[in-house]
Amino acid sequence: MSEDKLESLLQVYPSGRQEYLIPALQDMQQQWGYIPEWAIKRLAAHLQIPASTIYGVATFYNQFRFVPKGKYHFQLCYGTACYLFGASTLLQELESMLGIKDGEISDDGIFSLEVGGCLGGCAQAPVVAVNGEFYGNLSLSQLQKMVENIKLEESISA
Amino acid sequence: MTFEIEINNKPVKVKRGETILEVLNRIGIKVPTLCSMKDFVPTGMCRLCVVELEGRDMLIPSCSFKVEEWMKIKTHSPRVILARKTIIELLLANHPDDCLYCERNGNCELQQHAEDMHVRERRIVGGRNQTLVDKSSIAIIHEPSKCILCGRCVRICSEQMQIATFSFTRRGIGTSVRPALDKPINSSNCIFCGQCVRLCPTAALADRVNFSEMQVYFHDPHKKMAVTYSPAVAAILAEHFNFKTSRNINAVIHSILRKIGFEIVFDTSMAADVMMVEMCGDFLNRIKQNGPFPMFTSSCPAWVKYVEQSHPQFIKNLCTAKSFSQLAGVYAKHVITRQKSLLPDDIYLVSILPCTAAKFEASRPQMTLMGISDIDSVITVREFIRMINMYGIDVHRIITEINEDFSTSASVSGKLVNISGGTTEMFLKTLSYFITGQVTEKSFISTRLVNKDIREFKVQMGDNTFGVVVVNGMSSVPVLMQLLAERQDIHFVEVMACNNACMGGGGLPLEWTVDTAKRSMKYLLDWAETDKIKCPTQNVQLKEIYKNYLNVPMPSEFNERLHTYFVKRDVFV
Repeated sequence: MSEDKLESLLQVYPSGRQEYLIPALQDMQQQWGYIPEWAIKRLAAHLQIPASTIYGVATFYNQFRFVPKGKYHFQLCYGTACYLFGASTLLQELESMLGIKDGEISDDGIFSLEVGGCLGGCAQAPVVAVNGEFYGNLSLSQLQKMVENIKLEESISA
Repeated sequence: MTFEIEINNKPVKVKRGETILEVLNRIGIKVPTLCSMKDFVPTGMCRLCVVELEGRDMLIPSCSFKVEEWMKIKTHSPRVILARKTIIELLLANHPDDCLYCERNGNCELQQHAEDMHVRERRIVGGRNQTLVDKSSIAIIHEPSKCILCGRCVRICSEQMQIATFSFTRRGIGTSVRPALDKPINSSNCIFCGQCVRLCPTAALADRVNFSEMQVYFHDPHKKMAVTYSPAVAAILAEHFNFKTSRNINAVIHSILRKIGFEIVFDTSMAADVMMVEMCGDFLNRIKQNGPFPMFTSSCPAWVKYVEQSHPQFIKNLCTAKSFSQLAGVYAKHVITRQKSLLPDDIYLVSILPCTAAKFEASRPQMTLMGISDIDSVITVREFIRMINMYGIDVHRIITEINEDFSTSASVSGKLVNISGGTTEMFLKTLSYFITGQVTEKSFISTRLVNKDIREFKVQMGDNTFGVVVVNGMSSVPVLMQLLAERQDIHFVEVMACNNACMGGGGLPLEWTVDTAKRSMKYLLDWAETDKIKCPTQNVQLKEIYKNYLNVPMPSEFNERLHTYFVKRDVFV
């Protein structure tokens, strides 16, 4: 049960201690890949921090997400090098192929898309990572093929 | 300890501990500010109050520096003025620029500063803020594109009201003030107190204005327009317009409302008496059933919502009697209509209050019975003043309708319910009558002592001793909760969410201050002193109303028109 998981996760942090906000958020992100709404409610009560403040802190950092990751989580690098090598074209293509925008998840839960800062693969720009696996020097046709393959595998009509 | 510093080449005596801004304001030098709030720790966020300090390369924000002996300050040097002007120009760079159609056109602080700085051309061009307007809530409209991130709403909401609906989210250019998880205000933990609306320098937070809806009914031949206002509104207008004390303010307000086009005009005093009687009904029932105690007042809609969402375990403690403003609606729709041989549906009732949360209260489903809402539209004093201007009424020269008879047999409770401690005083007086059978002359609590945030005392009535707590402002609610956790001998708790109760309400004129609140409170108390009927049970009309129009005993036994219920709210707190 997710609720039980959260309780055991919160046990580590003493109640009412605001300084544990970020470690607790990191634990949640680690656990579910995102920070669920119900968990924020519980965390607010546990650490005695208003939910709006938690949300304010969490959105300050890029590392926290509020929507779940899809089965295939696409991370598109939008760092300087990748941008120069056409990341914006790749983004356009990804958005239209997956039917979702940055920070969203497809209705069937298969795809999610995240556009982020530098992923650290500047030498192989442009870079797209799928579930943490890096694909460098990516051309438009390669990207299209990659998405089509996944769709075939998941038997989604293109 | 005093010493001298130099301001604009002149020596000035200052006290240790004062900030530079305080000194400047004291000696008559106006310095623009956007983020500073009286009695709050300065944040130095807006940088508008910068001054030049000899020996420092950078300009410093005067709000967050305390005076020291060596200081030589220039408040309006060319460098300072250029800096201030640039800040305003930068704030305007991404502002939506729809001033002419803006809710705050003419009384916007940003607009005023731009005017003072003589900004006459668009020197800095940025992308316009484009955000959706949050119109979800019945009381407060949030338009983030007009937000200049001064942080006043965030601070008043968390530091004073203890609610923290808003927080700064995201960062850099994407920073915006939002409720938790970007939820709309309606599904957030906002209690609609409206303090943020009064503080917002722009129209990022504004009232929901009900003019257009109301005006439709002015032209509806099937509806008679009715309006009710609390005596507090009279006191606020008297202070706001500086009426001469010799004038009959009730007559003036009646005349204003008649000129606007309302046919039926009455004040809420009678409803306040009904509320007192019904509160006693609930309390006596609690005594019979041995609890649950303490009974909380439920006349402050902001406090009611706070209990529903943050302390659902206390919902059963809320008094089930409707608030006086809602009861005024019941009185209009079920008593006045019958006196005038009308149907409840035949009138459109507008209620004028210094409160934004009342808009929310009037919209609660519990306040509509068989398709008839107690109140059709709530407007704030702020909107009322605008209406006075719209209908071209000169309040000082208006010819009052002197033939009208304003005397009612209502007691002073209507004048006191809007003051911290007033509800308690009148409730205890009424209760004492129901328990001992006699009207008492003495007062239980001094309503003139309003500087205190929380008061606690014991009251002896017959064989009973009751513990009473009066809370003035949400800032003392944590203390109250602590008290309730430790003690079992508290029977009655009055809470008014705003500081200075309704005289510090969210629907007051924008330029309202603590001093004006105190002065208008004095009006109310003076009126209350000259009134002859001191206890709701002495109100002869009240008995007649109960018997002939409401057809219920007095107090009614949880009559569904006079009582309400509360629900738990699942929101982010």
